[in-house]
Formats: sequence, structure tokens, C-alpha cells
Amino acid sequence: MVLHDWFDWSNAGVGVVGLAFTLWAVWQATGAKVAAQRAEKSVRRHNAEVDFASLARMAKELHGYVEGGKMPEARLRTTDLRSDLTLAIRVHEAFLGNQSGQLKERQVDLALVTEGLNRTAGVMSQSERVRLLGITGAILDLLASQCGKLRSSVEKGASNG
Amino acid sequence: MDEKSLGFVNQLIEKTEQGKLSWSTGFEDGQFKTLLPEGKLAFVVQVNGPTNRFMMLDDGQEVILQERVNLDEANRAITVNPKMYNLYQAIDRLNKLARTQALQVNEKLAKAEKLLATI
Repeated sequence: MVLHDWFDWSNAGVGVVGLAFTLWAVWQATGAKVAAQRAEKSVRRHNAEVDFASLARMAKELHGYVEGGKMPEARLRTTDLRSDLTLAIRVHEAFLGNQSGQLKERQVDLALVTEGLNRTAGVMSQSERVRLLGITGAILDLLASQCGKLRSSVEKGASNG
Repeated sequence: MDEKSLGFVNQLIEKTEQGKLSWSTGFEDGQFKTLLPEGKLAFVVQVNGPTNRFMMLDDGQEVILQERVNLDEANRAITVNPKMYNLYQAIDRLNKLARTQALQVNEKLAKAEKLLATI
């Protein structure tokens, strides 16, 4: 009778220890999964920052060409910026927050500029030139601001471990 | 001419009059654009000289619909193709509404009146 009780208790004990180990293993696995997800997000955010830094450089070049009246170069840069921006928005949309709408509006501007410049072979009225400067300046500001936000969030992520 | 264009332009006129759309200047002279929420679609309207133009772009800025109607064409079409004449007129009307909103014409006129009154 005493032996039987002892077996019951030891079985129960082994069961409890087993359950504890299982729970510990699940907890560890969940923690590892969360850490892996966090690391993946951090890499993706870093990639977004790199892409937007490159876009901001491209926008700066474009703005410079427009300011300098170098329209053939501006036309080429507009096309490059347009396609790269479309790709970046598609890939990194999750990190763009409330600037996504503004970026899409600028994409439309770039499409209209590309179309307009190609149709008129770069011949513009004075008011179109002023608007073009406004558009390229606004694109540059927006991309630089987006790049700054992403950089700051990458740095915050890095400092939080 | 795409039959749907006139319908879209009329819808845009209605929504603009209701204050549900926000227009801003485009790149070329007389060109105005509006984006639907989340940038899913964009509409562009342009009146430049005798040519009226209407465009619809998707979220990849591909042109889905484009109409270009010349005043001569529109006048010739009054009896033969009244829809084309109606489209010309509708684009003209939408462009005026878009311009008024994008350039805040009414607000600026009211301000000008006030300023002149104080002189």
C-alpha cells in the first residue's frame, strides 16, 4: 500500500517536472521567435532607410538639374526616380506610416512631369518651370524627411537591443 | 472616345461640388490633379488653349483612361457625336471647379475685396 502511494507520488512528480520543462521550452521558443521577428523587422527597416537615402540623393540631383536648367538630365533623372520610388513604396509600405499618401501624390507629380517633359521635349513656360522647381523641391523634402524618420527608428531599434 | 469618360467626369464634377475631392495643381499649365484615398486612383484634368484633356491613373501611375478633345473637333461633333461635345464641356467645367479649389480662388477674391476696402 505504501509502495503503491510512493509510485503514484513519484509519477505525479515526474509529470509535473515534464510539464514544467515543456512550458519552459515553449516559452523559450516563443521568445526566440519574437527575437527573430524583431531582427527581421530591423533588417527590413534598415533596408528601407538605405533605399530612401538613395532616393533622396536622386531627388537632390534632379532638383539640381532643374535649378541649373539641365533639362535632358532632369528628364532622365525623373524617369529613374519615378521607377525607383514606385518600387520602394511597394516594398517598404509598412514603414511609411502617414507619409505614404504624400509619397503617392508625389508619384503622380513625377508621372505628370515625365509625361509633360517627354511630350514637349523639355520646352516649358515660365510658370511650368516654377512649378517643376516646386515639385522637385517638395519631393526632395519629403524623401529626406522619410529617410530621417527611418534612420531614427533604426537607431532607436538598435539602442533598444 | 471611351463612353465611360463622360460618366467619370460628371461624377468628379458632382463630388467636387460636394466638397468631397481635394484638387491641387499639376505640372503643366491648366493642369489639376486629385487622388482618391490611399492613392488608389488619380484623376487629372487639363485645359490648355483649345485642347481639353482628362486622364485616369492607377496606383502605379499607369494611364487607364485618357481623353483629349479639341475645340474644333467638339464643335464639329455637336450633331454627329454629341457625347464628344458634352465631354469637352464637362472637362471644361471640371477644370474650372478644380482650379477654383486648388488655387483657393474664392478665398483669395474675398481677401482681395477686404484689402481693397481698407485702402
